[in-house]
Amino acid sequence: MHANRYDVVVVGAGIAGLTAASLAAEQGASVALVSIGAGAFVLGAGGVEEREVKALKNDPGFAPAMDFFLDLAASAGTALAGNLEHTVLLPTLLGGFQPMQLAPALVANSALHPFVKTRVVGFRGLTGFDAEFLAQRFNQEAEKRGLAASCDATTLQLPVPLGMPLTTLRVAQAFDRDQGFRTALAEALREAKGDCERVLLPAVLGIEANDLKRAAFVAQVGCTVGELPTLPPSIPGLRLAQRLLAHLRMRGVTMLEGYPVEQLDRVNRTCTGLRIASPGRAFRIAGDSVLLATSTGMRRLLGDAIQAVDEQQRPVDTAGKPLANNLFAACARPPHVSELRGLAGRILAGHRAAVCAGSERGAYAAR
Amino acid sequence: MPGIARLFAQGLKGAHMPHDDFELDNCLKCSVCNTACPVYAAYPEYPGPKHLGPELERLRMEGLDADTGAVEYCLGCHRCDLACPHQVGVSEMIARAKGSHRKTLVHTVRDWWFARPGLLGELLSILPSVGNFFLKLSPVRLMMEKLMRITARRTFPAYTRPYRKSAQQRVGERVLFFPGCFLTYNRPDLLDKVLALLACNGIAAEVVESGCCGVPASANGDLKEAQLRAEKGLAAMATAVDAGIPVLAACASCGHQLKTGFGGALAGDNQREAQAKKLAAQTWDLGEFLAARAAEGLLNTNFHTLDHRVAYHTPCHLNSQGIGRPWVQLLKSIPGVTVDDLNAGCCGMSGTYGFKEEKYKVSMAIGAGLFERIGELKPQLVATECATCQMQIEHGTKLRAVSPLEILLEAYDGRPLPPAVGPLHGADAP
Repeated sequence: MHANRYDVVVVGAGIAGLTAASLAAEQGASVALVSIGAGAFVLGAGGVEEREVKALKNDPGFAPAMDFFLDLAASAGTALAGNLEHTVLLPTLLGGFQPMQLAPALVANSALHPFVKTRVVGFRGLTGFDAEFLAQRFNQEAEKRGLAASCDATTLQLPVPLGMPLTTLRVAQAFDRDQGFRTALAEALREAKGDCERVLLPAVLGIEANDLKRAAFVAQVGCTVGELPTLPPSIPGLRLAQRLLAHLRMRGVTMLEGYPVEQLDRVNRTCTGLRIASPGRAFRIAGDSVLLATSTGMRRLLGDAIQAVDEQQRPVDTAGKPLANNLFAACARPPHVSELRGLAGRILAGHRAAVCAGSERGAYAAR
Repeated sequence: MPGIARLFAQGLKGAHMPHDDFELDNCLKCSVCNTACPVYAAYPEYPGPKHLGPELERLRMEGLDADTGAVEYCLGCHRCDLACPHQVGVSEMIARAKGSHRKTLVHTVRDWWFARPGLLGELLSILPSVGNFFLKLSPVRLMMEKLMRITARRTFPAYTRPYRKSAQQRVGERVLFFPGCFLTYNRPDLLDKVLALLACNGIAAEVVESGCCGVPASANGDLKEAQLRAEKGLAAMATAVDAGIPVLAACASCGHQLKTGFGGALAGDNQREAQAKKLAAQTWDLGEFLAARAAEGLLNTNFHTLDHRVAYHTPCHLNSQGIGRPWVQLLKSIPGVTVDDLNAGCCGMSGTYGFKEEKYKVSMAIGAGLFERIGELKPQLVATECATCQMQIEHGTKLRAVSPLEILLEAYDGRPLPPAVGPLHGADAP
């Protein structure tokens, strides 16, 4: 038993790190994930924009990376909907319409569709979500595009008081914790929907809850339910993060949360260990491969000397030699290298690094 | 002077913004701390760590009156600190605010006692059977609820003759063991087990006699008492620390406190702070220590085969030590033991918090997710390092909860697991 030695150590629990850790775990490696808090994607909607796909689709690694991630998200209980060939227009809180290709299933349900009678439902006391305004924008946009869609708005009193100020986080947590609340909310929505075929809500349908729980809720409402991501912390992004973390932990990935890596030990072009700045004394761990899925962390740990990454995703020095043969960059933006945009770019970066790390050391299966 | 006037006066003198507020400026108000807070999720009246920490801290820093009773509801679980992507020490700000919160007389008296479990232990263990008898009587408990605002729905853990150092000399590698209050006054048998467990691994542990680590004191807003506990603890361990001897703690909260230099209780006392830092660098959680030995092939793995289906719960103060979950690996290495990692958040007990009458409901609401998860898994027993987590789990699930070290010792010498800490099967409510 080697408590602090792992086949793969991933630093950073953003989308890149989660993707890399999942792939390594799926290949049978023992994995540790070191992180300080959630990645920036918890602030967003957890979807893939059209422009990201345009920028990346010629990369040979892109399609397998996206396939892997879509399977991962679905098995973590927070499936994404859509596909990489087709763009839908998703309404934003500020009245814009964003061309997206993938989005969390319920967020994808809010797309601008022809011939769908829609009602936007706000909650009384919840600021930052203006149902009237959104319905108006919906109709304007539909008219502009010559779509026969119609949209109106209503505001609902939540069945249970959830403190002041009311936040989407409170509602989502009540949704997770309280079966009674879910039933009462579904009832209220069923009544509020009237003869509409779809209701659009601020995104509040649970963080820990999996897709099954949400599907049961939607069935109770009795029509299509779409979610609109709100201000940070945005529930769909948070949901994706929490479900993926729980999924990885369940699959035996060791989580080391809350303290940054303060040093990478390197001897003869090998990364021999990491020191985590835990209270009292550095907590040392080691990995046969070390994947850095953090752009700021990489700069902090390796300095500004890194000029690029090589074909195996290893950061190299000015002479073009890898800083360490078992050290891989899984972050979207290695300094001076490339700009991998958005969620898709990070998925690709994480996937690519884990693939390289896996093939570099041969098969994990030997262990 | 009213707050605004004072601020204005300060402004005239030249605005004062201390430069140690660096951490505060790191707060981007992203609310990720709120998403991690167990109280925020269970208690809608609670404004959350973002507001009580960095937001109000700006006012407090300027000497403005930002006192609110809400700070009393902070568990001190450190989940906000761990979740913060920018390393803001949210909970420490709230702990300091707790220290200056003005409480009602009844709460002040009650919390004075709760801040001093060592004193309580010394008194109750003079005649433990009498103390335990009275603490179990329903009328006594109802009276305590009315007069002291201590919930009658829970039973106090039984007190016993406290652990006293025996003359028995142990041989082997030397370590110092910091037992804390619970092992000293409530479970000296568990303390014996720790020593036996270490002896099985060729380690001779000496027991520190310094009383409480100070976590209950800071949790109850008694910062003076926390400082006193820190000073006493440091003095008791000074020789060993200077000699570089490892210090072990089996209680997650004690371990957290020693590793964080007594959680800031010594701020301003440079000499002691330096000493505390040295102590922190030498402190090990018992599980961490054993797992590190296992990694070096030094753990005695002469195990009997057991037959346990265990669900493991991570105490918050183990989480906050940043050492992973050493007991999961240790327990899994025992033949015949299967371990489910619960991953269901905080239990809601937080030491004396769950005993407070006004917080009982919040405490149980926080634990609900954990109880539910345990109910789904239906383990034979629950293992967790923290004594009050054990109490809460037994209270909420009516399942037996033990310390993982007891399972390991059972694998070494067949010593049976203890009966439940409190009464099971629904006998807990009067």
